[in-house]
Amino acid sequence: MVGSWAAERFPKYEEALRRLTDQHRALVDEPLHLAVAYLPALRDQQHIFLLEVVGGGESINTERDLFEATYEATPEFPMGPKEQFHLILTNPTELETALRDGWRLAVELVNAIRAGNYKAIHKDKTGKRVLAILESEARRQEAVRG
Amino acid sequence: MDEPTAWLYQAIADREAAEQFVIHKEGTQRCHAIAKLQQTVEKAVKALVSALHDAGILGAGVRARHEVERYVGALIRLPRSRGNRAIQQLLHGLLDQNTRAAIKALDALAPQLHPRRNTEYPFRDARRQWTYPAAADVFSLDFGR
Repeated sequence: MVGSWAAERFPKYEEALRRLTDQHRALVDEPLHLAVAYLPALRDQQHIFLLEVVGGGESINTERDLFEATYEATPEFPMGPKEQFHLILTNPTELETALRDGWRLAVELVNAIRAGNYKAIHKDKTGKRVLAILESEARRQEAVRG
Repeated sequence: MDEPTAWLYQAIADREAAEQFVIHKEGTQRCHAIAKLQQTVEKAVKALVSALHDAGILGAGVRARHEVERYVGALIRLPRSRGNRAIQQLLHGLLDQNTRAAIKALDALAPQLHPRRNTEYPFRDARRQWTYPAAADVFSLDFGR
């Protein structure tokens, strides 16, 4: 299922997001496995959200949520006056823990995938496996809710 | 005094405290040295985050969490632009690959929910025996190794 966000709003930022993830792929000690742009249903609908799953560490946040940084607009990443760019940064081990234990930002992500409001921008072999887990979790929740 | 400067001054004070523990010959003080060095790095990075927030570059400022690895991750992933090129160069120079690896190693020694080797609380070693951070054989002179 492709949500309206993926069809209508994502294309506006696709080029900037691809440019940004290309920059992040240059960090060889923290290889970018998966980059997914998405829109959480219960957050500001004008904001832009990007999940990046990176290697180079397996630390798990003791505060039981994913790390989220927000950035203001730049000329190369233009956004409207009320828009912000959110980067959610995790690693495969932490994301699996977050999904298993229902961490808030992981639940938001799965719900966005369930609604079809997401686009994978980059995925390597590990990233394909992680994306499959995310999509499987979204399908499982869809089946549970009917 | 602004918030970034306050973080930086506290980082300097933490480093001075760490150096007091480093000069002890016995291994029993090394956990305290590492804990203070972790605090030094944490506060220095939070000074950067706070300054970038004040400059309107980062949308969110400093939060309570101790782990700095993710803050560092956010700093080196700052979206590039012509306007922040100098800041980008400084950040990537300061937080180079070796420095980031050292920060991760320090972060791994911060107290954990499920205690493993850390700088504050008793934990079970690799042989599943209880020990404590100040025990002489827990941290060697090159610290985290």
